[in-house]
Formats: sequence, structure tokens, C-alpha cells
Amino acid sequence: MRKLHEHSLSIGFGVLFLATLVGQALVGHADFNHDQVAHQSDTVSLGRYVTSSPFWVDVMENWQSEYLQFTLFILATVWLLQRGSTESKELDKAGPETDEQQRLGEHVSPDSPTWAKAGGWRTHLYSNSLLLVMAAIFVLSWLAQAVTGRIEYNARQYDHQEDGLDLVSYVGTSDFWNRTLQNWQSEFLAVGSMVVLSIYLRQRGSAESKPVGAPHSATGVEG
Amino acid sequence: MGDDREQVRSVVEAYVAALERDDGAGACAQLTPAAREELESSSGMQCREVVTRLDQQPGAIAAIDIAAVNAQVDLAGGDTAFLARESEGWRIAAAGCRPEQGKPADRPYACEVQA
Repeated sequence: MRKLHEHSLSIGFGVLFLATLVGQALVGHADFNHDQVAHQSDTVSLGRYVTSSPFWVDVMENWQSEYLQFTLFILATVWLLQRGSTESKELDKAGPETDEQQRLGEHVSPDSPTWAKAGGWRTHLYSNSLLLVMAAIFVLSWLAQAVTGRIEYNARQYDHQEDGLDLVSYVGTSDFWNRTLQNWQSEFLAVGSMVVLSIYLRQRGSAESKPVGAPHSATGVEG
Repeated sequence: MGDDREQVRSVVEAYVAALERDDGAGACAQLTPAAREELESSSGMQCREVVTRLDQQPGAIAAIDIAAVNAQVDLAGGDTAFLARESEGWRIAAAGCRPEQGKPADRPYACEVQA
């Protein structure tokens, strides 16, 4: 029970993710078949739909933008600041910081991660591991969006007796960039909103908020 | 995907073979119901009577591309066929198609048979 309590955040969001992915599959299947009928085509089974490009492009276009959001946010918050925001470091801490501030080198402790203590390329790699993994997932899911998006696009092309495109040509289409940019705009809006709203608004008890009584000018403080 | 490719190939080959032996019923059996209905309503004749009289230049299969529940098949004679995956399997939704003014990707082909 205690373990459940200590991992409730990841468990909670894991459950939400799975539930909403299943929900997306169900309503996406219904929507796809609605379109099939409108085009005088036959409907497909749920199993066929969730293994098809029309489903996976809708999943991947959302994943890539979430991981791009985190990649850019993680990178930006190394150097960029916002006075008063919980999302910013304190104003005198821009940049990669000192080994002492990062608890590296002679400042490691016995319970520091193994690769933080190892030194050399291992520590260098580990020091950038969060960014690298987020960026890698972004690149792979954006590539998956391109691959599945091209197939879904070509399916619509063939349904209208038009030519399909190869992958390189598809990446230059308005279809690919419409899917990409509609997701990016919302991600950047969300981050920007959080950066600014956290200056002036509070949520008692949340790790994402300053303490209710903390001043607007307090930066990099969470409660 | 391998099954789909084989089905698409056999449907188009059956259609082309039926045209070559003047078998209208055999050719119509490879079309989607919507394509048959459109052919009959536009010509005023039964599908099996009109399908072998259309201006089609099929030939052997030159290329197949399958995208989800749709497919494009290019034929050596110059025609292109577009197929859809129906509940009973792949069927031809448009046949005797040729690109208008070259091969742009954003203008539909002109087809002799079309749903």
C-alpha cells in the first residue's frame, strides 16, 4: 500500500494514458467507419483499425509533439529565465551550473546515481540523458508520424483516384505539416501558459505551484 | 500485408483476364457494388454488357501500392486501377484510369469505371 502511495503519480497518469488510448481507439474506429460509409466503402473491424496507419498516425502525431515540448522545455530552462515562474530556475543560475551545484566530481554523495559518480564519458552522457531520451523519442515518433501519415494520405488519394506519394514527397505536403503544426502550437501554448500563469496564480498543495503566500517575484520556488 | 498484396494481384489479374476473353460478368464480379451501380446508371445497360466495351488498355500488372484499405495498381497497357478493401475482400473501385495532362498527384485520374 505504501509503495502504491509513493508511486501514485506515475500509476495515476499511466492508467489515464491507457484509458484514453483505448477510448481513442474506440471513437477513432467509429469515426473511420462513419467516413467509410460516407464514401460508399465497407466498414472495418476494430482489430483491423488499431493495426492500421489511420489509427497510428493520430497517435504518433500527438506523441511527437509532447516529446518535442519536453525536449525544448528541458533545453530552454537550462539558459532561459522567467522572473516569478515556478518553471524557471532562480535568476542567478542560468547555464549548466557548477559541479558543486550539480553534486558532481568531488561533490558526489554515496547515494548519487552510479553514472554520476563514474566520471568521464559516462557522467557526461548521464548529465544529458533526460534531454537525449526525450529528443530520441520525439525523433522516432515524428518519423513514425511521417511513415503512417503517408500511408493514410495515400489511402485517401487512391480513394479519390489520385496518385500516392513517396515518403520524401509526403514530408513536404500540407497534410504532414498541418498535422505537425496543429500539435506544436498547442504544446508551446501549454508551456507558455504554465510559465506565465504560475507567476500569478496558485494551487495549494501542488508541486507545480508556489506556496499560496509566496510573492509573485519568487522564482524557481515550488510548494 | 502479404495477403492483401496477393488478393489485390489476383483481383486485378482476374479482371484483366475477363476483359481479354470478353467475359463481362467475370469482369463485373471484380468491381465494387458502387462501381457496378455507377456504370449501370451512367450507361443505362447491365454491367456485364457494357464493361467490355469501354476504352480500357489494361495489360500485365506493373506496380502495386497498398495504403490501408485502398490500393493503386498500374498496368503495363497504360491503365491504372484503384481498389478498395470491402467486407468480401479487395474489389476494383475504379478501372481504365489514366492521368490527365501528365502525372500530377493532386488531380484525379480520368476513369472509364468509377464508383
